Amino acid sequence: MSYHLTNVLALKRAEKGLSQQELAASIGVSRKTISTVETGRFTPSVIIALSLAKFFEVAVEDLFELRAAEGDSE
Amino acid sequence: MNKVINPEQEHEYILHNSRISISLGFGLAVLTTDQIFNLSDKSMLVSASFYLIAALFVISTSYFLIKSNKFIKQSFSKNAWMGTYHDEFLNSVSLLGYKLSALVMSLIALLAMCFGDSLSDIVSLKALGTALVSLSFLIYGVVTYIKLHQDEDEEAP
Repeated sequence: MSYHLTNVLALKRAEKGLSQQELAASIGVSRKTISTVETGRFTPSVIIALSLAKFFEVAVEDLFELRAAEGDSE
Repeated sequence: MNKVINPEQEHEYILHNSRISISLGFGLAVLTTDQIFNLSDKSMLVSASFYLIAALFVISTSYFLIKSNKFIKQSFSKNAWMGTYHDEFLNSVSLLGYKLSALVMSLIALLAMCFGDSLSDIVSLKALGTALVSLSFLIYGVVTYIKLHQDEDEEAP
């Protein structure tokens, strides 16, 4: 079974009224990293996932969710 | 001593590297074409065009190399010179560039190994070497440039 990672990073960022650049600077990554994580083009490492969760003061599971890829049976 | 690395500087640096690679790759491709077809010995128009194109690539590569001075002054991390970036996304883009470049080089080397005897009548070893270096620069440059510009229109609010 294959999985894909979804996230609510853009939503959480919008709630805080932050730009990608501001969020990137807060956790010490490039804006491209934030941009590509939000669009699902790039899967972040545990370090970035934990940094983001810490920044938003939520659990990692509240930011990222692992979903079964479409077409895969349970 | 641990240097504080700014991810945006790294982004600028990898973008700069991709431009140098593309420029150098095209320049070497022009040189390869000359080595195979002897363009500089052809008619006045052909050789003038060849020298003009070659000069353009020499100028653009020199321009990008002079601009590199800025990064040298920033006492950039030794890792970045080795193609390893502190920022994860940039590192993945750079690795993808290297991987595709190595893959294509290996395929061409494999073809040269299989058809080397018949190829040696058409292409000299020097031209083949120049073509390989040119391709490796071009592939690394184009791949990193595309990957770095893929999400440009999805700029944050």
